[in-house]
Amino acid sequence: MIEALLGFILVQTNPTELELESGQSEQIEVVAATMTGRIEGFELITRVIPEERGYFSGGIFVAGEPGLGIIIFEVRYKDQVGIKAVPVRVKDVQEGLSPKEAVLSVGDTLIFSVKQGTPEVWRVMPPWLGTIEDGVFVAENPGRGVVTLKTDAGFHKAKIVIEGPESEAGVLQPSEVVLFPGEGVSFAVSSSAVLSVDPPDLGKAEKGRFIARRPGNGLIWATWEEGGKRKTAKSFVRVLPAIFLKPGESMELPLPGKAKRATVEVSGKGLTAEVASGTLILSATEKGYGTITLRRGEGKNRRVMPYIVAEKLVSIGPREVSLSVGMDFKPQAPEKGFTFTVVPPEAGWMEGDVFRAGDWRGEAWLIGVKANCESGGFVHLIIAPK
Amino acid sequence: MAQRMSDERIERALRGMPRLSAPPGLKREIYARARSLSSRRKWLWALSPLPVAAAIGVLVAVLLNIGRLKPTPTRLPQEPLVVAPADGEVLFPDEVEFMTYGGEGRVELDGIPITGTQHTSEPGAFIYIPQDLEPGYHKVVIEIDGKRVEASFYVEESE
Repeated sequence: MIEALLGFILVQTNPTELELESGQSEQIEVVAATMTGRIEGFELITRVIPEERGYFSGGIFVAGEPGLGIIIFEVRYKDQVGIKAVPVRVKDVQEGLSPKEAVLSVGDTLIFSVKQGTPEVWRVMPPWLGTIEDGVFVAENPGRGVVTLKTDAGFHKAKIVIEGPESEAGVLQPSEVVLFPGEGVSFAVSSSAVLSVDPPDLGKAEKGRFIARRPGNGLIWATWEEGGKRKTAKSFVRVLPAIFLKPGESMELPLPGKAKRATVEVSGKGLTAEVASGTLILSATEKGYGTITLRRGEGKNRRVMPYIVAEKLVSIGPREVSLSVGMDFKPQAPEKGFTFTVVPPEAGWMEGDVFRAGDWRGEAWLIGVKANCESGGFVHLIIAPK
Repeated sequence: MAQRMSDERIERALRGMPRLSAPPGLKREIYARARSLSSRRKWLWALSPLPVAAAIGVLVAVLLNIGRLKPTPTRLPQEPLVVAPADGEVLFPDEVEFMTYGGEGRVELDGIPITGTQHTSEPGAFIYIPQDLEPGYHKVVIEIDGKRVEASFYVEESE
């Protein structure tokens, strides 16, 4: 304890965090003090992690390659040592989009010009700030955010500030939701609240309720008036990649990125699948269950999704569970008569109605079905080492 | 000097006694006991209040100076540091990484734990790089030493 007290130097920096473009520099003031007061004439050792993020010399940090990093300031004074770590964010040089920053009012229109590459995808984050189409941005609500552009040559961002009474941050409960496609969740918001979904095809939101349509992640935004002020809140939604269809139904899933060129195979009965124009098309032919495997090239680059073709989707509690190797878990079916299948089989095994995690690391599934596939449900298993 | 005095006193006491041949080694044993008694008295004297206080003072002084004589560098910052994308940030898949400083944190991306890599030259720094990140929204939760940071960010398609 005495050692800790005497060997301690408090180190402070100004600024306490950095955000720079590659090649930019900023002065950083380092102040050190012991229990008895501020000290001068100390030895300063700096390290940048990772090294390519930049370097510190003569009190100035010069930004290197884009990305996140840490600058460590180590102060040595009379055999005492103190450390301060400063987060640094180095951004890519923005040359492709003009203007780089803009301040607008609600209703204003701003035309962005593209200096490099052919525009492909425009996006506004957060989406409720306004709309953008072919580089024409229309401000709809006060706030701060970014306009992003993906071109064939790169990725560009511009900061936007829309003046006006900014909406206050509210709370949307639940703040995080895990669902299966077809399931819904009700949010605790006033009846006047307007819900919007980003991306819009993730599901349908109205009257305080969201119903998931396809697997994927997204945000549910809610805006409402409270005490004469506008409030905005969000909830993070994860729609798990498990497919439920009734016999005769079909589903089309847009495949992201590299998965657009994936091949698909079905193991089980009751479902056919094909990939066409970057979309996974699923058709339920009869009751059954199994797995859909999407492969993107050779090796481990594959994604396994469980499916059930039945009359009714039931909730098996919980939807998602984290386990360690060797741990037990008893899925809670809504009624008796459910049998469970482990996908992939090497993830573990069922001992009666209890699942036991095997020597496996990663995601796995339990497919629970009632006799003759009258009804069925899923449990998402996350198995991690102890 | 005191040693010699004690020996003479013993000799004097024995002088008046009838001259008998003592058992072998008795004289040596008596001398040894006398010496031992004399030395114990010295220790008792040393345990008197004044020297005890002095000894405690010396001990405290030594303890207080341990920090100066043998420094223990404070290798880690006072508060653990988390470096992650900002909430609402838009990134390419290869731009997504998280860092902790001050120990290994518990990092979950979309509910799934990610293990970090300890930096080779900075043992307190850990870097977490998710693999096969799909385009769309993601949420990261980082916990380290009671500190919790969470952010949802958007990953653009890289092709």
